[in-house]
Amino acid sequence: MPETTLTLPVTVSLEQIATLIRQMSQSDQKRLLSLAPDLHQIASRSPSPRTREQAHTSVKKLRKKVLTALNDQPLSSDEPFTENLTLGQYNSLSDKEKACLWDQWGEDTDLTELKEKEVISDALSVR
Amino acid sequence: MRCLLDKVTARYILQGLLRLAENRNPGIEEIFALDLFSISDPEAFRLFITPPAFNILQKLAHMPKYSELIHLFLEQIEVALPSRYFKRWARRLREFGFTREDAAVLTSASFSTDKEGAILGMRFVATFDQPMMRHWLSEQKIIRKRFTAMKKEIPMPYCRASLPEVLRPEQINA
Repeated sequence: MPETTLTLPVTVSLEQIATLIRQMSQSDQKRLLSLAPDLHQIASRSPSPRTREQAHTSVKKLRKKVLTALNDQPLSSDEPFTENLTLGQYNSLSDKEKACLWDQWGEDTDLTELKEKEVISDALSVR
Repeated sequence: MRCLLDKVTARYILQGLLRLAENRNPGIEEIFALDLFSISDPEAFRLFITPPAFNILQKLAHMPKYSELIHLFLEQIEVALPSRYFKRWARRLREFGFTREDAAVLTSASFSTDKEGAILGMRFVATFDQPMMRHWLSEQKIIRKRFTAMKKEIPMPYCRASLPEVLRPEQINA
């Protein structure tokens, strides 16, 4: 009798595959890497830094998106930004002054005072 | 991949968006922060901010003229919530001489999660703070030793936490 192969259409998400891999023994994980060496190469490759050209291209696209969100009505520098400052006045502050303002605005939330949240048992770690 | 933005990087993104909204040109640091914002992706490359940065943005969102911009920002950026063992690791990092805020950001990159509790930690911290980056690197060996020791004391899945790479926004590429 010739051997037949039956193919069943099954949809499996990447998250399900990742969960399965995490449940494998270390030797099976090593075997998987030898079967799919591209994974190893991708994981060990450090991405190259972004160039100024790439950044400028991103910003050009983003400018369109921002202006579309504002119905092509750019903000005026006379626009109130906070209770005491217009947008133009905020822009004219030094970086240090802006940082001080943000520190003041954020000082009512202390991260170490917040309740710690439990994660699910198969939470995705980084590596 | 996941990346946590420190408060300054989040500020540069917002300032960059404001510049674009005025149809003006952002500064170079704002451009690199905006570039990082642009390459984010809700599945492949998620960006996070801390709850204090989120609260600042919420205050600005009350002003109608800025609500669209804040919405655009928050559409692409999530909030990293402190997970169990956050306080323990933050206390230990402070012993290495990090400020309270820097220790909180660096700890968030190891012990934080999303609103579903489905993730643990971040691969990157994006920052323009050179002294903090240098200090993180110079103390790395001993920090890693302490981190490994702490992980041996804590249960799954928290013992799978890792230390982040602390980089400038332009050094991070999806």
